[in-house]
Amino acid sequence: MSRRMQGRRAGGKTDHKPRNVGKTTRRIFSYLDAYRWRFFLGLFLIAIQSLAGVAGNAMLLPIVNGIVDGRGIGYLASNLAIMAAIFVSGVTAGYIGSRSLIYVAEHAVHQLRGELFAKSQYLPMKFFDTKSHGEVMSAYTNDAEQVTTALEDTISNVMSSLLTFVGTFVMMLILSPLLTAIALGLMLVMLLTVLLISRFSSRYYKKRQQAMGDMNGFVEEHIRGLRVIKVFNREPQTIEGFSKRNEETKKHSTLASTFGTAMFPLMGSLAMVQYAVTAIVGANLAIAGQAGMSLGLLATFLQYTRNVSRPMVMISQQIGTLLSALAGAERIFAILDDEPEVDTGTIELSQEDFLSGDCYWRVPNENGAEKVPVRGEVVFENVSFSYVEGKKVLDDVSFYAKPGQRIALVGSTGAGKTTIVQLLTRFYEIDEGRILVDGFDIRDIKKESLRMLTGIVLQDVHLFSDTVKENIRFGNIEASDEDVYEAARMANADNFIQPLEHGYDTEITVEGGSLSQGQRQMISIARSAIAEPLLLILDEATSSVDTRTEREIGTAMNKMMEGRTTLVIAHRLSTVRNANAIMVLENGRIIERGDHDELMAQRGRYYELNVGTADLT
Amino acid sequence: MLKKLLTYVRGYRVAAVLSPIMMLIEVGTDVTTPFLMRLVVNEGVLQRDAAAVAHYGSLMILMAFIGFITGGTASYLGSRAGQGFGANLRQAMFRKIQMFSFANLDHFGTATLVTRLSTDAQRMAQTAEMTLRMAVRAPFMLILATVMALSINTELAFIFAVSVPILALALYAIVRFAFPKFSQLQDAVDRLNGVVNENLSAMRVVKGFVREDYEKKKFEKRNSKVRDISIRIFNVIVFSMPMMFLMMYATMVAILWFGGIKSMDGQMLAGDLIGFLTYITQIFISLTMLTMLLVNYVRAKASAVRCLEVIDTKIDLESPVDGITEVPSGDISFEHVSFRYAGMNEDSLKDVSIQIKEGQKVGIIGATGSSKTTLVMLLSRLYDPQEGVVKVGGIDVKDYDLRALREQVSVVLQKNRLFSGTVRENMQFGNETATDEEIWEALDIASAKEFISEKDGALDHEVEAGGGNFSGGQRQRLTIARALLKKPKILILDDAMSAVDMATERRLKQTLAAALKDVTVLTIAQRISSVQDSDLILVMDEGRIDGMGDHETLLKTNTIYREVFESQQQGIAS
Repeated sequence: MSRRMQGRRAGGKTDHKPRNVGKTTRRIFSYLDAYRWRFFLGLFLIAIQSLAGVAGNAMLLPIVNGIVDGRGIGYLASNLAIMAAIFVSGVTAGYIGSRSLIYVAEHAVHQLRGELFAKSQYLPMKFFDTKSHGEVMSAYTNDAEQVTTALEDTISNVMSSLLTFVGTFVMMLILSPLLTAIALGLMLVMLLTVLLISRFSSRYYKKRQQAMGDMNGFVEEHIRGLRVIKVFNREPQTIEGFSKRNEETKKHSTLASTFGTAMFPLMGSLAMVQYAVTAIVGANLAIAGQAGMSLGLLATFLQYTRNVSRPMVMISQQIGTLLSALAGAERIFAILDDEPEVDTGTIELSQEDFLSGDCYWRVPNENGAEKVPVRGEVVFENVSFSYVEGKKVLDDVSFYAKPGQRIALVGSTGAGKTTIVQLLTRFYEIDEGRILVDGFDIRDIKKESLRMLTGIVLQDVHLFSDTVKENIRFGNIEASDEDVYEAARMANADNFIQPLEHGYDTEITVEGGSLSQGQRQMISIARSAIAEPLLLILDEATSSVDTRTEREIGTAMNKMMEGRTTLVIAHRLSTVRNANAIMVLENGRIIERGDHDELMAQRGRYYELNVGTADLT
Repeated sequence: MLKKLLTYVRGYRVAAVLSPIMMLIEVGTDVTTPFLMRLVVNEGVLQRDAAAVAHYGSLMILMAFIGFITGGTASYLGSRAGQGFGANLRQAMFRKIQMFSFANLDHFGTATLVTRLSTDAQRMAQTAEMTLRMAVRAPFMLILATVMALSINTELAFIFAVSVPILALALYAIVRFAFPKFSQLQDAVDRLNGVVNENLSAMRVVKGFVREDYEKKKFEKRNSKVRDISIRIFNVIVFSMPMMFLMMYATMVAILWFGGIKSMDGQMLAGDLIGFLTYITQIFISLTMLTMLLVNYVRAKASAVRCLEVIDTKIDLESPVDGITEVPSGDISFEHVSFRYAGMNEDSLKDVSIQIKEGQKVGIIGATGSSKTTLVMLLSRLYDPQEGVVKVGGIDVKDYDLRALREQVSVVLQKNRLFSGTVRENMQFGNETATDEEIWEALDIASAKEFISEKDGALDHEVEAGGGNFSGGQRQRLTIARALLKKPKILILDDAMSAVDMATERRLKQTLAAALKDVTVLTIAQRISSVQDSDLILVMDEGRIDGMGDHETLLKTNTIYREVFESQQQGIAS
């Protein structure tokens, strides 16, 4: 139980504390560089707004005194005009300031999101295989949103609250040092209260987040598994499990929000006490005519007293937001700082020739570059690899595929077959040995060229939410519509695409689409066909297709494999029979190799794997 | 909708009623203070009466104290009622979802159910809290402050009659304008997230085809759209604050002007004016609070609809009252059964009739989309057919108590799952009272004993959510073991060994056959080799039974079967 909880905590992010405030802040500000003047203008205008609020209230002094002393309508009018002018300019400045900040924040975060996406395109596969989608997604959603809010609102709010607080305090000091001294005592009490409550509420907030994370994790798992739950009649137990977590969440949420919201009445009451004490002392002073106290001064001072507590509450609440925005920014920056895929290769495919069929490797040397023809030969030389240190997935594997040959890799689940694809495309880097394509170490070939050369059809089909046509064209953006139709015909996909409601313009949806798993695979085969790769890797490409359909695709696949070096990773032995050579992998080692007939004659592992069906004949 | 929602306050009614009352008292103290201040000025300062100052001053402190007590209590009660309401709502939703039939599940899809239970329910709890706090506070503050202002000076209060409606109208216009735009923004954000999500899951494809730039362009288009719509909306939204301040300041200036003249004419006391100024702030703050509440309601309404949709879903498949609890035998019959999924325009099963006797081992084979899975799902009544009758043990499945039926007809689904917890907990999913001995026995039959005993802690080994720390084949064997623990009369294996390698599969089939002599076993498979030893093999094609018989018969009589067989034989030497 406890281990499970830990696992969840490590996966979910409940971290609200930034590690390095200064560095992260500077880095966020670097995104504002292009809009620097707008940003500072925004802050400046909002500062004017806060100060105008303070100054406008100061006009109460001459106005009230003028009224009490009966200085006449002219006096009143001119002072009110000044007050109105101050207020109007403050409001105008604030509005323009807010708009500037919105502009800056949205543009900065747009850039940040763009960089994040761009960066993730070049991260090694390991990054995606070890992180959950949710974790990466939350960088785009929660984290980016928090940064936006901070830039748009929080920073200016904190600044404006601070200015209002300081401005008000200074005005109070100018108006009456004596009353200010009295107010100061109560202000300290308020400050302590704010700090104390913030501490409590953040503690309960953290607990609430944990309880909620645990509950949401449970919900996610048990709704996705609902069909299984129903088949096993486990509804009552599941409901019970949920109730427990729901109750826990409720308990912590209630406390967290009680402390979060009790701040207002508490501070309100303290402000009221302060107001009353100031009023009593001030009124007595005014009656006695001491300390230069006038009614106007008292009224103005009291107006300020009312305003002094609000900024404190505001700041205390915004600091939390600011900190979690910084923590969010750090998570984004962590991705931006991740090591990208290593790509130091210099050998390139000459692309214009590639499409026309004549294809060369452009090998740079002292005198510029040398042209070497592309043949499509693959050699694995004593390759060893492990995902996790100490657990070898491939152990000293060597084999070769001559241009145009078809090589099959078979073996039971977990034997390391799929890993070979990951290595040949350099999704992962090998630990020992070499992989050569046309005699070049693949580490010396530009990744882009290496991947252009290879076409992969994977077991898990990934199509995009776009039309059928665009999904096929994904393999080669320059392909014409006619090319798309031809590729589809080749993959036997044309005859089910045509009858679709919108034919090739039918939108493919991620969940619950109208296409069957097999049909989706055929579209992905068409996508690979249109790319016209020289090296083809089929990773259990037809495992989700039934045998009859597989046979239908078979002809298309054979056509596609013609003249291309092909690596077939197979689960079903029927698909590998025609291979030039078959490698049997077990525990990361090649234990048998030969063609079908040779291996059957050997009566080894391959034969054993086949026996299930061999018994038939 | 509101009436329905109110039922979830159950258990927290006292808090829900008391919280607003406390809040009311707090507002009362808030509004009384400026009034007392006015008396301090008028009767104290202006009359030079220190006793009056002390009297009204201490009343103000008393008010602050009462405000503190009632405000704090209101906060606690409000949170309690609000979060309690949220918890009740979540509980009702979760309970309902557990009752969903497969068809109900198809209708919603799992992703949205998860969001509804987390995000939407949470928003409802927050809204409830906010309502208890603000929906009472703001209007009362508005009314009481206005009444107080009126009582001080009716004529001056008319200034509010001009400024308040102007502000209300402006705020209304802003909200009206911004709202439709909010859903546009949500759409744009959803699309952006959609691109990221797809990109993440298809990263191998993107890298494999070197389409990074293409993806970046696609993202950039959506990214800019989010930015542009955000700027448009927020520029309008931020207009509400200056609007509020402007009207507040305008009112203040107007009151000082007219009040000042009156005061100088001696028609009004200075204390009245000072009191008045405070009420201005209170009135305008309540107005902004009301706007915020309104804004929140519009967003919460969408959440409420989404939550209630779940709760109000009609369960289209329910257990009969006093259903039969004992399945007498493992006989199965389908009598002219036709079935169509909701929203499809063609039947998935067309007039299917089959007879299977207890203890028979039946194989089902057919192309993807030939409705093999649909056929077996009718047996444990995961769906109801529109026409015809499905019988288990000679009795219509609709007459059984649903739980009893599912207890005795065990299904290993194609898309199976393990849950986070220990191996033992996962196994006890099949049978809560299963002993370790029974579990090991089931694991042994399912060829899973070996690899489980090698794991740290064996039965205590932790399974990750979704079973990620086991290979596909191991997961399948564990789910088979789990199904065996139910000791069912009928066992259905829906492509349950697809990831198991052939050698293991052969062993597994033998142990299963030996252990389940009296159990009727239906096996859906892709490979003929998986079903060829069966007593009876069903060949399905586009929702129909294309052929029935044993391996030898089908080879002679059924074209589809022969074709599949031959295509699978290609890998074997003659």
